[in-house]
Amino acid sequence: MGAEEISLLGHLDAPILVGDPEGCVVYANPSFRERFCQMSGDPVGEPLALVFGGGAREVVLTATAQVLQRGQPSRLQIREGGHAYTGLCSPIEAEDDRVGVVMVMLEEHSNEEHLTSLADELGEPLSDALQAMSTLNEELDGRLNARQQQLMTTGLHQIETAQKWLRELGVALRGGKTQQGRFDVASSVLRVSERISQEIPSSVDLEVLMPPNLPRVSGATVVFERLLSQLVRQRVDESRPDQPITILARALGGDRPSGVIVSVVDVPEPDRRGPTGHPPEGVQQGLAQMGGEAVCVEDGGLGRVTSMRLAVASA
Amino acid sequence: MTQNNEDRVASLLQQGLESYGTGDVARAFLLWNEVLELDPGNEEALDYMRDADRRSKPRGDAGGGAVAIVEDARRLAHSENEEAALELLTSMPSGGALEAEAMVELLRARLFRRYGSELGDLSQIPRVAGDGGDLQGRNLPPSAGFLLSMVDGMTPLSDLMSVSGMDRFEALRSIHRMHEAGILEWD
Repeated sequence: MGAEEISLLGHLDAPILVGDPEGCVVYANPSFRERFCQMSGDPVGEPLALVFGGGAREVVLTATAQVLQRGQPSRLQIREGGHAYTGLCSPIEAEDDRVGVVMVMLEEHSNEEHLTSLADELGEPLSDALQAMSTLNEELDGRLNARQQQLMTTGLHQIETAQKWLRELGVALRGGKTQQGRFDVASSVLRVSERISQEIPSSVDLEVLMPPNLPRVSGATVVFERLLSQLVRQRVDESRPDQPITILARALGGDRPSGVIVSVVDVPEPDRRGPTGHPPEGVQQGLAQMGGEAVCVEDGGLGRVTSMRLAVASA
Repeated sequence: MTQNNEDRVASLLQQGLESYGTGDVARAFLLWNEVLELDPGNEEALDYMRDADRRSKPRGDAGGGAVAIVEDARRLAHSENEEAALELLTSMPSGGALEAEAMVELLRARLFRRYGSELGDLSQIPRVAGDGGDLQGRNLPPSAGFLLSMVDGMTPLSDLMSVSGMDRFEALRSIHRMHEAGILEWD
């Protein structure tokens, strides 16, 4: 009679593994065997290093070593067969000695990565649909009857609404968490402007207006610089050749700043500009991931400004 | 400030209050902004501007209020009063709508260019007009006073902006206002 048949552990859905101090398997319940050992047969007596593969091997061995060394439980996260698991690794003690480890795995059912990739896949066709309808709207200007124009306006509005909810979905899939980290936004703005200045013709006047010091904001330097570069490049491509482009930044909220606003001001050339004026979808999504937001305000006589609001990082 | 200018400032302040009283906030800002052109840092004009928006905005309707202010600012900017439009927007309470903050940036970028073209070559060396004795009666804001303290008859405008440590827009705006008010001059 197998150990799994006489033990309560044999009837649990959660994969459970027991290892000895030498790092070999002494017990694996049926759930563990089913999920982790379909190809490799009976794991009992095998080193842990052979039971787990890929990145999971190092994670499991490190957790086991820490548990045996410190006598404290340790958490771990691994992927196996397309599933994600969170594991708890605890010491087994007998007569003041650590005689092994027990590992309990819990499957994560949210399948976040798959949903996130689906959300990303949806973004592109939505963006294309918006661009196509906006172009159509411009080309048919004046030739649609009231009902058709109403339908066109409703369609455009609904696509923009869908894009907004898609961004919300992206944030929700990450558990409402924004990217960790804080960075010096003033340095990032200067680096981006220097890089772009080297790329564009010297005839394009690129000006930066910001105070010497700005509060640090939440997010990642690399991500923000990529987003800002993408936005500025797009604006350079769309702007009138004889008009300057200005990058501005300042703190919001007076003496106790709550955010920093970074803006790009340009005057778009009608023949070169995108139909909506919105910043690229990737910029909006990236900014949402940093906990920020973007807006584009356009006025025929004054020009166009695209502003990004970033949250000040907590101390 | 000359007696003529003092009378003009008093009249503009009063006209601004009357416009504000009839609900024409944009015109009130336009008039109070004219006061600031004649008398940079005029406390009365600045106080009116700071308080006007807060009092005129209905409670619990921050979004709608912001939209109305942005529209007023657009109207001012289109009638060649970008300075007044900026004053109107920046007098909004902090934490305003992002659209309003974006409009502020659009105006700052445009005004920076305008100041630059009106002031001309920034390698010019400014000096305090007259004997400077009238400065104490000018109600200059601290930033303007700080810039003035560095005017030594040898430092060009561009260096003044750099060493001030101020946002380049704020520095140029302050210099422009003092030049317009006849406080700073150059050849």
